[in-house]
Amino acid sequence: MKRYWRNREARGNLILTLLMVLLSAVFVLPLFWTAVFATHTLQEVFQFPPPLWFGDQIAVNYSRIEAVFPPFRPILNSLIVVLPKTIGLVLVSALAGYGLARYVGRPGHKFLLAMTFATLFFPPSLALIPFFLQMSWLGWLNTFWPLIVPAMASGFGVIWMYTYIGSAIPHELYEAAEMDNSGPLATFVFVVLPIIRPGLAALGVWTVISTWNDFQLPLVVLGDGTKFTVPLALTMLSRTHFSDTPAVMLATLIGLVPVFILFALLSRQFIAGLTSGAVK
Amino acid sequence: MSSITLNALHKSYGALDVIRDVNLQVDEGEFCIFVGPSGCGKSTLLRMIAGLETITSGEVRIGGDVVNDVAPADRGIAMVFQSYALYPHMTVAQNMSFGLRRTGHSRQETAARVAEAAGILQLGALMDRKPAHLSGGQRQRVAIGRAIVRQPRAFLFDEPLSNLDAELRAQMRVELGQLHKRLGATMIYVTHDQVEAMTLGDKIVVLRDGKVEQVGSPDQLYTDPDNTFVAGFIGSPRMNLIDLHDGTLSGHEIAAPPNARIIGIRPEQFGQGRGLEATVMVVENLGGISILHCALSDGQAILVEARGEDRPTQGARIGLTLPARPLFFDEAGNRLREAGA
Repeated sequence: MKRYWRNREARGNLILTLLMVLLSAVFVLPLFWTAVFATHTLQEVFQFPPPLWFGDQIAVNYSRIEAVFPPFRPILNSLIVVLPKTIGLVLVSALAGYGLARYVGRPGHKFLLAMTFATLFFPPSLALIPFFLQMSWLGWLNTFWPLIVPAMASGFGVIWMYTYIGSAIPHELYEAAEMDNSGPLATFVFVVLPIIRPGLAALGVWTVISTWNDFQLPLVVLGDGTKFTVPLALTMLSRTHFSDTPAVMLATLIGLVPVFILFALLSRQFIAGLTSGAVK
Repeated sequence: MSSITLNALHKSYGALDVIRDVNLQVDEGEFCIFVGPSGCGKSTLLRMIAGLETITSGEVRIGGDVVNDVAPADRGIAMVFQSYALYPHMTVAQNMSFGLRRTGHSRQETAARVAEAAGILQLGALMDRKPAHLSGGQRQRVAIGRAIVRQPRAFLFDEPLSNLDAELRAQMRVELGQLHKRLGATMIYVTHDQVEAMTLGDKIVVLRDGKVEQVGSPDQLYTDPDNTFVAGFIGSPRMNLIDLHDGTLSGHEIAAPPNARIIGIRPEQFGQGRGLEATVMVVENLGGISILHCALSDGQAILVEARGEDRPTQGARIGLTLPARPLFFDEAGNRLREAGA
């Protein structure tokens, strides 16, 4: 141990690992506590010191949520929004990013790129009232369409795919495909899409998580409680049962499960997508 | 296989001319090399033939047909890129068959052509591998295989060996020469390496600043260059281009044409004996020969090739005899030929 401690590199690694563990604890502990609170009664939660390990009240807590706000409806609503939006956003972003990355120098390229960038500089809240009016004019209020269709055109998504494709695909590959009689769309489908899969996965995971947690837009658009997504339902629950901490914690936990499953399935691709530019 | 003809070909980007009035005939089955320094326009010229660059004026004919406005895939040519440009997510077999599948060839014909090309290039054992699991030489062979399966009217190569190490490059050079003989194909090959140009080409086109400086066989360019640029570019080590002063070479009287300003002598053309005096500054021993970096008495630097066992050493003063028929150039660098030559 003494020898190990004398090794500068090993010492550095040990300190770094400890720091990482501490940092992880900062993020994991609230989640752990949410899970612990979800399994206790209200009295136990407010005791001092508070419970630090799981209890046995989960079924009782769940029955109270079930009575007020059955959690599977909001989860289904969230899935109805998240899945088509994510697929659409990823495809639209990839196609637009491909156009911008491939046709550099063509007329209008700089203008389109600048316009796409410009959309990132405006806070979305600024457009909330015009957006509401537009959706009202389309007759889409209190439906899922406003949360799905306009969101497919994402400035962030397009810039993400533009930079990803630009760094992952050399220009000669397009020319090779052109010599192979592959048109622009066929090249996108058969050459570009398979190569940029990690980038698509990363954008997909990011979209799922941010959409799953989105609160403001659903709040403005959805009036009917049966259409509420998970964050709206949780707010509703905490408003009506604001003092029932265990029930709110349990509902929060249930709302997180689908995102956890998705992240577990796609985490490898997600990390590959985030780091691919860095290691090339 | 088809011939390729370039008539008054011109390419400019705004005010910048990159290809200037190029006229060239590449005959059926010929191995033609475009050679020149970086930025001379050789790759641009190749890409214009391929259809990957637009043509500002002039025409490209393949097999007699003007193809200026024909899409690259419809010109019936295949191109091998410098970076190989293999599809990284496809296996070797898929890479080779992609073009055929896109042009609607049947499964059976595609498989037969891929198998034939794989046989020619000895790729049989690698067909299920992806490019990331191939060596540089194997990738290059796959890129060539992808071109072969299309049974093109002509092959275009854009510096295909420049990413390989010296040993592999020499090996692939031999293989490419053999492949050309086997296929009897029209090939245009771009390189900045004059060794590749000399060893592979039936015909060499030397380019500078977008213009053709000279077209000829390797022997022709080596022994009979039109100007100092070609004389200096072709041959390694390069030809000595030595300034003449009042018809003398470093004080040594020579029989030169009256308007000769430069004399061209290849390092291997010097003999040892009484004549021009030089001091050996540096000796590069290459084994079979040594390259002597010498200084003439007027300070001009020359290269001299020495063979045999008794080679001069650094600091030695040596006497050099001149070849019987050296090359002479005027002030502008153009070759002065004897009448009737």
